[in-house]
Amino acid sequence: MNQMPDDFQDLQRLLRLKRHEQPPPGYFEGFSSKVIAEIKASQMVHEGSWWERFFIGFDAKPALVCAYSLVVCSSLLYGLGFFGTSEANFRNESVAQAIWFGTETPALPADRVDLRADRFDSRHVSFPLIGGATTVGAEKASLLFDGTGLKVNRASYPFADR
Amino acid sequence: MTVLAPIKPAEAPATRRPVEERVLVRRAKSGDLPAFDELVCRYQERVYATIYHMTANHEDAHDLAQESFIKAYQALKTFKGDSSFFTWVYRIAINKTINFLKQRKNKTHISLNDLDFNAEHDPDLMALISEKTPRRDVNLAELQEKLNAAMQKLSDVHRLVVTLHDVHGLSHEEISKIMDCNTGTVRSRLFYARQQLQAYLSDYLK
Repeated sequence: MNQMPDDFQDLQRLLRLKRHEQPPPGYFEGFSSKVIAEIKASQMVHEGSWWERFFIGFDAKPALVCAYSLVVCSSLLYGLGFFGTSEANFRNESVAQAIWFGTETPALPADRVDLRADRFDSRHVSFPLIGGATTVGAEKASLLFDGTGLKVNRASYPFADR
Repeated sequence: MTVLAPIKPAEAPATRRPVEERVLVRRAKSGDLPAFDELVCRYQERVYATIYHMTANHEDAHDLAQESFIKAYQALKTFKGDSSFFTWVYRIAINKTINFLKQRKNKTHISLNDLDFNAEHDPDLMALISEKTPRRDVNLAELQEKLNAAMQKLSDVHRLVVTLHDVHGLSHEEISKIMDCNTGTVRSRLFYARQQLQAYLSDYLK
């Protein structure tokens, strides 16, 4: 290819102007030491334990701190919510079981329940009810169980033949 | 009584010969950081200057030059010695710069360095301005501004070829190794880039 060198002679001379675009004096004084420091820092990251690398990563990228904080807070809130629900369920189940086995008295208003022995009337037999309401009749089931099926009430009915 | 200090032997003149590049590379490969430091010192200015002419930004050139040397150290084990270390580092720096420019495509910000003192005393430049330029009233700073604006209009590869050949004075063969292409491609790119620059700067060149 013919480059016609004379045509570009002035342009080449003009381009030499760019050789004079130099950074300020002393610009490169700390350059290589910064490069070496960066290399050493990256080597330390590779050699350090996982938690050191983890925290050095935080130093290098502050955005990571926000991201990790967000994840931890979300997990904590979700965990608390889940724990609260589970605990409520567990408590209801425990109460139900305790009532069934007679180890606990349900917390009902005093005007509805009277468990004192001296007032026990043999004509009245009290028994706990859990689950299906077939023993007390279908019309009473809605009073004994709420929507979740966890509401437990003590029921007392007189036997007509005594 | 005066005690005379012992006469010190005359210090030998500084006859320290520079260590060969391949020796430094071998030492750096085995983890010798001072050896790599020496390599950085040798080529930092040239690598920086090339990146600077490509990006036209002082801070970007500084960061990219540093990253290039760090990358070079990390990849040093893959350096087989087929080319010189300088060519290899240059290739890393140029690839990094071209990737950077692709990302910065739409953000053009020019913050070029001022010309140094020697520019005003360069006889070639003075002759060019006083004799060859149709606009005699133009000053160096304005000429620099126009030249850089024209350079920025070139594509990345064309700007790179002009920078390496006409600014840094590398040969076609060296450029072909750095850019991983044949010398014919280098020549044609150089010709096209010069034509473009000539057209952009027609007001300032006869």
